[in-house]
Amino acid sequence: MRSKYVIGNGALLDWAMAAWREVDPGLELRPVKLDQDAAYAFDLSVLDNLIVDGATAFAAYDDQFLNFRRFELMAKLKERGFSMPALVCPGALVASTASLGENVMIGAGAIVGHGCQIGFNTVIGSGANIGSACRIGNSAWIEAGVVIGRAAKIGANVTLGTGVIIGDTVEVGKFCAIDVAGKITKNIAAKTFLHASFDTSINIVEL
Amino acid sequence: MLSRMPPQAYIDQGWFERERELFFKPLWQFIGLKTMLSQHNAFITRTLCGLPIVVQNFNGELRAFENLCVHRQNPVQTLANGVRPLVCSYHGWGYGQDGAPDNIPFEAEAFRYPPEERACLHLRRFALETIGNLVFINLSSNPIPIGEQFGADFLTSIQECSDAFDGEVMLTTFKMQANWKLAYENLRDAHHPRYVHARSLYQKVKFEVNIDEAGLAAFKNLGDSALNDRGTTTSRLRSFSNGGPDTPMKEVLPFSWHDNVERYGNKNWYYNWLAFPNLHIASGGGYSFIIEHHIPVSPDRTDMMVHYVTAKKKRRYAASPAVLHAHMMGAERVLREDIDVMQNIQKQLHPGAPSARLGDYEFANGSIERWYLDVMEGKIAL
Repeated sequence: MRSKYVIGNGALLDWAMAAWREVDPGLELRPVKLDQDAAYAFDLSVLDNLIVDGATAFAAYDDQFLNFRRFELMAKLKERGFSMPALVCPGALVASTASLGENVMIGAGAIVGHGCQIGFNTVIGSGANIGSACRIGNSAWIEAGVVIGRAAKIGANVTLGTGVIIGDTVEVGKFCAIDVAGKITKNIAAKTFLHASFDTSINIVEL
Repeated sequence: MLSRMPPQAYIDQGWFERERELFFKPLWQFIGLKTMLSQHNAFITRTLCGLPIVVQNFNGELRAFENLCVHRQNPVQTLANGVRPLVCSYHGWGYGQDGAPDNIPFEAEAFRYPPEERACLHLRRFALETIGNLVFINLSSNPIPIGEQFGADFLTSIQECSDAFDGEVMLTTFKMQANWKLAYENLRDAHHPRYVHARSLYQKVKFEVNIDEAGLAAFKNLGDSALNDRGTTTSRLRSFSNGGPDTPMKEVLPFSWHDNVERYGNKNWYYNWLAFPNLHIASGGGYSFIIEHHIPVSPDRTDMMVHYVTAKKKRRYAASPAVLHAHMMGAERVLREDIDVMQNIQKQLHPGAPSARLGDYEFANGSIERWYLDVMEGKIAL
């Protein structure tokens, strides 16, 4: 019987289990709860008991540390030889010419336009609308309902929060977090952070 | 004891303007980090005492100028930081490290300045000193030596700590609706964290009030006597800046990124430096540093520019932006707790408000008040 390990914790793990059950009812799902300690280190010993032997895996983790935790988890699973196919939830419309990397999740009702390239480990939330010819880097987190215009480029490890709209052809550099609702019409430099609780942007400078 | 600070010191525009002239302009003020200026043509711009300032690297030499083109007063550099020659984008005037224009396009055809006028064209220059990774400027035409403002031990201490800073810098600005002095009275108050930060910082660092009885006695002996000779004035000034290991931390969690940086020191302590008048540096365990620069904007507005760095990297690692981001998000909670208190105080102040009642543990604030008011009343000058 085909089987899949779904690794994560909390509500996201429960959600991923339900989503995979709905997508592929014939799949034997094995949930693996992964905790982290006070210093945010995963207890990776739980992965030692996983047996590849034809099984696939899915890492269900949030955008903690600019999505590096989910990436770390995915990397550990890839090290162990797991294939990690993308999860496309029912009701999502993914164009036939779009490409999806491993461990990508496309939420229910999301639209991914023609020619889009979605990097591995990226999460596209429910109802998000990704215009045609967009390139979204690896390990990004696109919150539910986000709208991204055509031919936009979203860098690796970017987080786009609720209510964000990215204009056509706009480029958002890697490691950005945009968590202020509204339309972005100009390019955003890498390592720029916009949070509603801050009075100004947060930027990283390194010469 | 009754504070000598009148409410006008926090709310009055006239007071604020006198404070800029009599207090801030003669003092060395922090302006930025050297690591942000480490390349030829790297620059930062800030506004201090209402003056637009640019600090620019000319082949390794840092120079501070008024950021205002002598032709039409356009800012020569328009961004907060970057790497770009000192060239005004309005009419292309370029400036050299002496502040004089070294290129005026179409000078002979369009400008035709007489030689004596041409010779006078230059950006206003300000004195600049670097201590470790910290860049200070002085807006006075006759600046005091920086060693008269900061004691030798303190300079060594902030040099050593700032030399530990990594070159990847996260920065943002908090717009406080409060007078800058409230921030420093608060930072010198070790008694407030157990109340204001009860669920945040105080969970990690158990700050306690320790009264320096000898210091308190010396302060009380000051009485009302005049302390206006220069030696006493600068000696008192130097005593206002201090820092180093402050309080043991309950625990320093072993985050995985710690292996990637050269830890400053080896103590599981909270480090704290206060560089008078308006720079605060803190570190939890020597792995990362927050550098807070409180820039007065008006009597009731202060821009708190926050730089966050880890200790110097041993090796590059991909998640370093995430480390800085996580720290800034954590720091924001603590900073907001302080800002909320300061803004509440500011909102209540009015010209007839009663003066504060300081406890003995606050004698350092009392001592600074004395010196500050002597400066503001013209009894002493730098």
